[in-house]
Order: sequence, then C-alpha cells, then structure tokens
Amino acid sequence: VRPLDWGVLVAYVGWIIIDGLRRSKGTDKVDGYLLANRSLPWWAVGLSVMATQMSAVTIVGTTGLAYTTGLRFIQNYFPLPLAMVILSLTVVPFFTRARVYTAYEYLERRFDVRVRSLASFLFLIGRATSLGVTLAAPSVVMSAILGWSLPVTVLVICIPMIAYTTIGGVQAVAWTDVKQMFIVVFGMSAAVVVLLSGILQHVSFGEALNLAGATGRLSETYTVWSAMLGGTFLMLSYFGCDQSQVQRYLTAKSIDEARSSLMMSAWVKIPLQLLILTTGVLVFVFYLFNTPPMLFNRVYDAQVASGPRAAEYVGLQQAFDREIAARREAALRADRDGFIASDARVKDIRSQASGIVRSASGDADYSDVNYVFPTFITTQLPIGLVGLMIAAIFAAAMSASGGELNALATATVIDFYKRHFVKQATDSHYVFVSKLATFAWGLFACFVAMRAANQGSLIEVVNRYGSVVYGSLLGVFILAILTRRATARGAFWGTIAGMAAVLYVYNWMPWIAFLWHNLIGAVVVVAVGMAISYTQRPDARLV
Amino acid sequence: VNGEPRTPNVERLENDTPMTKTYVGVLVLEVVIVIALWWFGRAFA
Repeated sequence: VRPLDWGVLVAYVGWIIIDGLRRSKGTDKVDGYLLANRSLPWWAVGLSVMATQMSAVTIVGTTGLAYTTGLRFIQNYFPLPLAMVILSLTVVPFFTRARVYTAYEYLERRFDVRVRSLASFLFLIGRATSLGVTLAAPSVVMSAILGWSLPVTVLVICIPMIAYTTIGGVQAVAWTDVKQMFIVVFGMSAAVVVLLSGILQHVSFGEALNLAGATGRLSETYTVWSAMLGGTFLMLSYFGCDQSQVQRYLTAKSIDEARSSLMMSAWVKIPLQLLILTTGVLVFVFYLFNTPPMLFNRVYDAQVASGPRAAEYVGLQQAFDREIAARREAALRADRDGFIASDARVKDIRSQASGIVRSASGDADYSDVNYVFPTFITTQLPIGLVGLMIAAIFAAAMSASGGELNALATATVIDFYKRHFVKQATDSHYVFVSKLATFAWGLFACFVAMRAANQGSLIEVVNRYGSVVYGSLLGVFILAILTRRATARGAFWGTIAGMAAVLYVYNWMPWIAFLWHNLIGAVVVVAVGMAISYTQRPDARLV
Repeated sequence: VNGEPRTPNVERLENDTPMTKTYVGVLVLEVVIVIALWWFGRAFA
C-alpha cells in the first residue's frame, strides 16, 4: 500500500466526516435528527437500505466464498424481492401512516406498552452485540492485511462512523450510505475490469468461463424452494421488524417513496450481489495464471513458516508450487480432466495448510476465505485503486454499522427514555439525549468489537441470539398487522413462547438449519398468541 | 373537519398509489435471473 493509496483512504474518511458535519443542519428537532423530517427521496433511502444490509464481510467474505465455491451463495438473496413486495403491501403503509419513530412504537398502539418494551428490548440487546460483531469481523481481516493492530483498525472504522452518526443523525447516515454505495459499486466494477484485463492476456472470455465452470463454480445446485421459504421469513423479519432497517424507510417523503426505496433493493440487490460473487470467481480464474499464495492470511503464513511445524509447512508449500504450475499448464493446454484433477489437489493442499494454521495458531475458527479478496486488492490492483478498494471495505463497515448505531439510539430514546423516564421535555433535550445515546452505543460497540475479535464463541452466541429473537419479532408484528383478534396478553406470551421454541430447536434439534428458525419462531408466536387471545375478550377498540 | 387545509407534508405522506406493475416486474425479473443462472451453470458445467 503506497502513499497515494493512503491519501485516497484519508481523503475519503475526511470527506465523510466533513459531509456528516454539514448534514447536521436542520437536525435540531427530534423529527430532523431521527427521521430527517421525513424528507428523503426514495433513491437515497433505497441506497441507505442496501448499504445498511451490506457489511464489509459481504464484500470480503462473499468474494472469498465465490473464490472457493462459486456462485452458490446467490441463492440466499433469492427471497429478497418477494419479501420486499410483501413488506411494501403490509408494514410500509402501517408504519408510515402511524407516524412512528420506531417499529415497536406501533406495537403499543396496537397492543400495550409491555409488548412494545419487550420487542424494543429484544432488538436493543441483539443489535447492540451484533453491531460489535459487524465491526469486529472486517477489523480482524483488515488488521492482518494492513499490518495494523486490532484496536487501531477498530478505531479507524469506529471514530469516523461514531462522529458522523452522532453529529448528523439519520441524515448523515443516509447521505453517507449513498456515497458509500457508489464507492463500493465503482470499486468492485474497477476490480472486475482489472481482473478481466489480467485474464484476457492468457485466455479468451469463453475459455475463462469454461475453466470456472469445470471446477463447479458456475453450476452449483440451487435449492430454490427451501431457500425461498425459510429465507423469505428471514428477510421479512430483518427488513420489517428490525429498527435498523425500518428507520431507513421511515425517513422517506411518503408511502410511495418508502415503497419505491424497498423496490430499489428488489430490483438491484441480486444483480449487485452477482457482481460481487462474479468478482470472486474472476479472482479464481486470475490466480490460475498468476501464482497465488498458499494461504491468503500472510500473518499466519509467516507465523507457521517460522514455528515448530515449519518443515511440514514448507513441504506443503513446495507441493503447492508444483501443483499450481501443473494447473496453469493444464488450463493453457485446455486439458479439462488434468485441470480438474490438479485443482482438486490444490484445494486439498490448501485445506491441509489451513489445518496446520488452526493447530499452530490456536485459532480453531480460522478460515482463509475472508483474506482472499483483500490480498488480491493489496497485491494486484494498480496504485490509487488499492486505496479506493480499501476505502470501499471500510465504507461498507461504516455504512452497515452507522445505520445500526442510529437505530439503537432511536429505540433507546423513544421506546425507553421518553416513554418511561422523561415524558415531557423540549425537542432540544431529546436531541441531546439521542446524541448522547448514539455516542454511548458507539463506545459499547467498539468495546464489543475489540473483545469479540478474539473470541469465536462470542460471535456464535451473538448469531444464536439473533436467530432466537428475530422470528419472534416477526410473529408479533404479524399478530399486530394481520389480525384483529390478537390481544396484548396473547402477543406478549406468544413472543416469549416463540423464543423458547427456537431456543429448544437450536439446542436439541441441531439438524434444523438456522434458515428455518425464523419461520418456526414466527409460527409459534402466531399460534400461541392467537390461542391465548381466544381465551380473552377481544380488544374493544378493534371490534 | 374544521375546514383547515391539510399541510402539504401530510398529503405527501399519505400518497399511496398501487404499484402492482412494479411488483409483477420485480418478480418476473427474479424468475428470469434464476432461470438464466440455472442455464448458465449448465452451459459451462
């Protein structure tokens, strides 16, 4: 990474902080600070929705996944358009007309304060810890790639993000997301151009596709129906019940504009994700003709090469070098069978090397996948573009976490501070408390990120919590929006039952994939909630 | 109710136009993408 690249990165970070400060104008009222006075255009909201969903791990993780396994991951996004259509027809008009600040505020109007507080509390716990993980995962990767210490990397992401989110509120978050999406798309497109120009020096485009296809990277089996059913519920709960997403479209000018913002994701998300995954496949083809490192995490590579298992590791490296040369020859000769066999041996050697790293470093969760694309960026891209792509990765980390931080502060102030503690105060007081809450949650997220980075088990606990909670949140919103008979008591105990059911499934029925947990949670909440509701008199307001 | 005009902001907020064509278009595009990926995978397998 050369001085010009650092210059690009510093200029970008400086720009988003300065622009965040500029966006703080007009945010002296709660409506301005938390909802941008409901004035944002659909395209800005749409880009913000996508930026909040797309973390840095989406860029480095999915390109790495495509490098090793191909395009299969795309099926996880198939349910998204259908979920967006369902949400546009259901929750968008409800939330917009209700003029709420948080999704959970609506639950009090429909049920009671107990249901609202429970839902908001569940959101706060889950999102606060997952925000730490959202920051930790790219920090671990980028600290290894750039040779920075982990705390420094976390702070490089956190300080600008906390600064612009705290000062500018939701407006700064949304407009920064817009810039960040452009940076990400431009950076990925530029990387594709560089990859193609490198590949086309050796083979034609058609031959490149044949090589990727020969190793199964273009022809994975798509399990469309199971992905559609389980995944749709996952998307519904994320985009419909998670304040970090709901708050994005609450800032839109109207119901139509909020719907259009979700439709933007429905149109664009799958092609965008295909661009990212295709980049990963192209990195694979690129490295057929350019020698790749045996392992992409150079820190571990150096550690193991000078550790007690160095001899074994050096032997693997020699075998790897021979096999890479054989694979290249087979690819150039269009020897399909020889190429496939050689690629399988390369895969096996990399797997053995990863095993040595896991035992030598003590990092049992080590996966080489996340280091593939950052290594490609820093070693193969031209000067200037390296800085831009590093900025794109940091941008993705900031945009995903900025929206979450903003949502955490909103739920804290609106659902708890204003609802339970200080009910009547001036707008400037609530704005001040919102800024304080944003700053405090930001510090908490930094702390969790530094702790989580070295604890795979903590990351697992956070992921488990998410899968336990989000199906139940979806269930309680289904009761609120789609039924008139559900009562507050039914909704409250239904939510508890839903979480208990998913917890049971998680611990004692491990063969059920996590994709189904949301569906199970939602179904149990609706079933138990309705059963309890039928034992009570219906809510007089709704009869 | 009392004859006062509604603020432009509220009117804007209430804009609620059916978007059936968009929904159908989105779902058709998705089906096209899924079929194209399936065909692409078979063509280069």
